[in-house]
Amino acid sequence: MIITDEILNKIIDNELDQETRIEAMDIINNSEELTKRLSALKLADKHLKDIPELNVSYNFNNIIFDKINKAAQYAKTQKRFFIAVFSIIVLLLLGVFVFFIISTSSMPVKPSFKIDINTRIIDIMVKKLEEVFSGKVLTIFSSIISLIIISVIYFLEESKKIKKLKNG
Amino acid sequence: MKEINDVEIIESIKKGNINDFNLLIDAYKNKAYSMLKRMLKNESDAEEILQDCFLKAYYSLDKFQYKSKFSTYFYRIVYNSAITKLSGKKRLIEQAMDSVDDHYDLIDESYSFENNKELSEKLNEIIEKLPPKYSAVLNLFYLEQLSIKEICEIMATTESNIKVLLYRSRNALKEIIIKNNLQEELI
Repeated sequence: MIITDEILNKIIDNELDQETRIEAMDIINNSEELTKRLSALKLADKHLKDIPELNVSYNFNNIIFDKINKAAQYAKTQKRFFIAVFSIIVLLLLGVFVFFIISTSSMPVKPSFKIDINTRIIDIMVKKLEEVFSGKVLTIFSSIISLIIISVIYFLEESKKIKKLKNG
Repeated sequence: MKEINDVEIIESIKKGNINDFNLLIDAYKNKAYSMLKRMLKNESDAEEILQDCFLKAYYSLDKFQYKSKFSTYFYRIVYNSAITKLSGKKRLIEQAMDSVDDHYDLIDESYSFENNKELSEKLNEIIEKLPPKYSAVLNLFYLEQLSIKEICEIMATTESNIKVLLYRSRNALKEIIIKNNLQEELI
């Protein structure tokens, strides 16, 4: 058997079976060079078992908790912002809907004609769509859409910031 | 015992007791810092990366399924973060990414010491100079006392690769001991 560094390491780690270990130890004990190598390896192993543990700075825990709290606060602010924007959009849409209802109910209906209700609704819808894409209402709709787009962009940017904060 | 505690702590954090995360930080901060400091060879980088690792661990606790020990899971984050940092900085990238079959010379002529230095001081000096992968294995094996199997899981490599890294590190120290005729301290 040739005693290699691998075998010496296996002796240290107790990875050899009884028979091989006895055989290896016989060879090592009869060689000054191998005894020296095994002793040196044992000393290295002994030293490594006492490898010093290094310490982080004393306020390490506080730094981490500060970051966690900061991210949580950021998330709360973002949530509030999102709710506010959502409420404004809902209110605006509600306003448009109310405006739509009022304007349809105020449209004159000729009593002499019995118009099918479906035809009337389609008629009104077409008229309203024409109104929407012209004049003042178009401006309102554009504003709402712009607000939605800006909010989405802001929301995405804030999400990125929170993700960054979470990752330190 | 330690593992049961980790599970209990994680469950407690999941229930909303955020302050219990302090217990996890205290349990791992110094050992993980030792590993990072020895891998990155820089104190501030090591501490910064460690903070990120704890934050990553904290935010992924909900997804933690107990398929492996928390220590294995956490050290995997630490090891990968260190490797990413080394790759990003293009510092020691060769050593960090090399296969274990490379011929990185762990012992060079500069490792001959003045006689008045203590043995532990001399050996610590070598440990601090080891390439990242070697440092990681030594810290996980000796300091954290993880099994070879767990280290394989953390470093995503084979058992034989880990053993090669471990044996080489030990052999490097052994050679220094022989070179300086220090083995007689043990005989």
